[in-house]
Amino acid sequence: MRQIRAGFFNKNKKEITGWLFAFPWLAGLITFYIYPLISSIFYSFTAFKGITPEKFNGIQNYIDLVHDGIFWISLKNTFVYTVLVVPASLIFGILLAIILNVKSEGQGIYRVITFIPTLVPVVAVSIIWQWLLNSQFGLVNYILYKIGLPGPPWFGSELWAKPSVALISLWTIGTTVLIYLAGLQDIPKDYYEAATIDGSSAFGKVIHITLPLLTPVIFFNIIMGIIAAVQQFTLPFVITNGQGIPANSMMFYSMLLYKNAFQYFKMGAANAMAWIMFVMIMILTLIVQYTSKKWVHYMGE
Amino acid sequence: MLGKNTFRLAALLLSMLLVLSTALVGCGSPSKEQKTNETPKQSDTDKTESTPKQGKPVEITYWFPHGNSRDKNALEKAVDIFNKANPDIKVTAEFVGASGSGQGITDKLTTAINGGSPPDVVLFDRFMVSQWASGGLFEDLTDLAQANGVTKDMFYDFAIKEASYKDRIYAMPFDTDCRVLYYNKKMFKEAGLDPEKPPLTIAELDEYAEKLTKKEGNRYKVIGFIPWLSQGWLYTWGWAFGGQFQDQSGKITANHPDIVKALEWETTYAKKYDIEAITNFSSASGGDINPFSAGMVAMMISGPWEIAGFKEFKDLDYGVSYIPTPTGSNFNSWAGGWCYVIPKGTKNKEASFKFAKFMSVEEGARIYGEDTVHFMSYKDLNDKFTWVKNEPKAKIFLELFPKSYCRPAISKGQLLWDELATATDNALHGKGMPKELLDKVTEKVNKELGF
Amino acid sequence: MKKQLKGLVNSISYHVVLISISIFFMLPFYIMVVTSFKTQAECFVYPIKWLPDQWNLKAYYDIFKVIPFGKYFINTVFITGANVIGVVLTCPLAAYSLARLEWKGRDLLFFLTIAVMMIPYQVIMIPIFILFSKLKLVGTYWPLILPQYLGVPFFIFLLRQFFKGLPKDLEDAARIDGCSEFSIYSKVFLPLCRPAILTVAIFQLLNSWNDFTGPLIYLTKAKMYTLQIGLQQFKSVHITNWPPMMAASVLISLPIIILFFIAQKQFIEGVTFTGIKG
Repeated sequence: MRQIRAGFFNKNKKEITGWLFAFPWLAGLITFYIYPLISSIFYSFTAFKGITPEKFNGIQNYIDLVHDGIFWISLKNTFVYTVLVVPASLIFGILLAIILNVKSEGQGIYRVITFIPTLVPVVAVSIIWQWLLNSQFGLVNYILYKIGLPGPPWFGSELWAKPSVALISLWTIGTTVLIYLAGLQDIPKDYYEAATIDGSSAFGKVIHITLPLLTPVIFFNIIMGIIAAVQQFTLPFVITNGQGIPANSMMFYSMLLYKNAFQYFKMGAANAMAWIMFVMIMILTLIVQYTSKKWVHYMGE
Repeated sequence: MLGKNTFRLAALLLSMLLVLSTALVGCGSPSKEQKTNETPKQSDTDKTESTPKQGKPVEITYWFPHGNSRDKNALEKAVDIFNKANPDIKVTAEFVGASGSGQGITDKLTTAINGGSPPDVVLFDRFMVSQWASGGLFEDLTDLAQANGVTKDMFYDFAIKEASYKDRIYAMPFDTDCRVLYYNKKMFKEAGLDPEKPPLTIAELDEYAEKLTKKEGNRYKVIGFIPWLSQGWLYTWGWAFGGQFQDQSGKITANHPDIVKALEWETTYAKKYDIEAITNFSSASGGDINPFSAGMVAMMISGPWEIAGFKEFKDLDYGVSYIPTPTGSNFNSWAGGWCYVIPKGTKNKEASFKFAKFMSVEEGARIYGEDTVHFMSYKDLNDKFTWVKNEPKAKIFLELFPKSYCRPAISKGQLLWDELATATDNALHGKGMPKELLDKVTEKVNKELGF
Repeated sequence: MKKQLKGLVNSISYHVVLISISIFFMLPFYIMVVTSFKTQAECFVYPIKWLPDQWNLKAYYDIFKVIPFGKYFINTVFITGANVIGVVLTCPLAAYSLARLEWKGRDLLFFLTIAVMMIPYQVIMIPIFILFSKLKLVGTYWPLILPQYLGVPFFIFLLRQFFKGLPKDLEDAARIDGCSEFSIYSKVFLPLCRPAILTVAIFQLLNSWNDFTGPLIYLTKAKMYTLQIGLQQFKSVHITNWPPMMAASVLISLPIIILFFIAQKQFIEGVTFTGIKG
């Protein structure tokens, strides 16, 4: 009897502890996320032309969007970009983290170098890349020309514009690499020691120890990668001066959303776009989350 | 058992209450916003009348997005002079950076008006005035202008047109500009052309462009002319070809036959040169590389601001001329520039207007134009500036101002601008025929305008 | 002998790989630094000049003429510092609760935590502004600091992944020893998550340091501005003067590059520390 009560008390205490620990975040979640979100649902159903919502107009904003060609173009652009950049940064990021985790001379310097691009103001970053990738006068094509290779037109062509943005994104991969590096620190050393005794090769260790134990972090980075890619705004906006050229190939979803909100005064349409985006990312995340049960391994379980 | 359930219930209730209350705030806010729009009107008369009597100056917040040190110093100098001359008003100038592309302070201003704490006076892109005025975001200045002796004919036509919406004045025009043809005299000589005879007709322009182009392997060393480079917008060529973007009824006519002709002509350049290779020249995507001063193009359409910028390039020998037209006559141009607006909800309308007037037609305008090498929309000022007297290249701008157009002053100005830019870009990339693309623009914008 | 040779070959190929990667990461930064010493006319010479004809410091001199760099620097350090402390206090707490405590509603909270990360900032910007404006906090540093003390979903998610990755027997051992829930958290788990918490601190540092929209919207007095807003003062409507812009970018990024260099040494310490845990 006594034991049962103690057990129950413990369970209850755990419940309270859980709430208490999460409380500040719960308050933050409601104030800075749920409340603005609810406002935005409300706005998405209004004719919100000037600054204040005028009247409720049902799903008209959503209907208008579906009939707007540019909406679909921006959706397609963003999708192509996401498909391009998420796997690329996954592979490049893990490889880089594993290399940077090898104990060697100059390890610290290399890590700092990898991270430097993320420390530079993004406006300066996009300007410098525009100089470098200028098809006629840029350094990259100058070097390609010198070694006899045809330089691609980069931002000048519909085909190359999105890969160019993806390339710049890879350049600022530092944060992703940092998360992988932190993840690598968490893999107990004796796993590797045991594998060495068993005679595993370096490659075998990566496949059988590093990658499986890194899966929670990979899961995190995939989800964050999708969210960041779908919300990509600054690079195409600064590079094309908000125009999405050439031929609308750089009109990203977030850019169109921003233009609707702050340049065309279609706040209602912008909020509707935000909701569509929200649902889209949610579906993508749920897919990743669903498959994660098959490939993500937590050491604690 | 009881303890657990009570706790759960309490927590559930608490969270529901929180969500509910925030939801109510969320939905309730718009109606409250409308109220705040009404209340300031009452208080502004109270304040402007009562505060000076008490000897306490009226405080005015003034936002400007010009961060460049020369512009900023001139603006701040003018504010100091105004404050000294008007002890009953205290203007505080605040630099407000532009986010994204340098299109002014629109997102901060939107948010500030929304949150009920707008500044009193804002230096604003004139082209956007009609759109914001139509949204009810700016104070109508017509009566104040009349009471203070500001008349429409003090400004160039295009400037007052842009500052008005439905025949009411919403802004005080500030500085201005217009577009001309810049050409590199040294390259003219090298190509065997007379450096004192720039092209006047479109045919001459095409011919010179070809002569001035230099190729090295499959790379262009110099391109004679790229119509859409820098300020070569469809507006530039549409008007040069004799087109009109708006008819008497206010309808948009972006598919005017002459505008279609202009765009068709632009596409011949896209076909002649490799469009993908030269897209990077375009100012919008070139990261502010100025290909003209770098000696990469021989002719370019741009505005008067280049004159000050080109002073840094000592070897650059260049001239300015009219934008060529098909006939070699009826030269025109189009103008843009900035202005002063008073956002809805400000507490000190009269004092704000006094400051706006000081900046646009009085000492403030004089200081700004002189110190920053800018033309002003106030007609009487320009030929009195020392810099204008010392700069022979300024003459052509003064000559073109009376013949300059402004972009249609409509509630969808930004949309029309973007749609025209996209149509041009699509046409140049061979994605559709100029006529069809411009038909679409016309249809879309007119629909949005409610025609 | 053979083994030594193999080691040498390995080491050389390791450095060759990393040096070529380094070129990719350093080149644009190098251009930025070199441009800051050039004149405006030199910026666009083709082919590019690897070094300026003359190393001139005019751009750096200009910065201090245009903006009160020292003042903006102090403001930025203040906001950044306050934010980093905020996230380090709150986020691990919430993450721990989501990862290792069992309570009703936990899964829902986790789901919401991921969900709200997907909201684009432009959408929630206006409602949050109205909220702060009603609280009369616009024009103060509060809107830029307070949210961090109430948790950042990205960091909570990140830390939760780490807490979840730790072996379960750690917690059981502590519980058998009779530790309180809070001391299990603070004495057992928090130290083990040090690399992850450091990562979170660096991210917050970066975010606050590079934040433009927040200070733009909430700060109304010039004397409260941050470096990122200062950077905008080098751009103008039609012509941008590149050398001072690049010089300012160099000066803005330099302090965090140094800080990161120090922090990454901490990472290596983290390696030796986690070695014990097994």
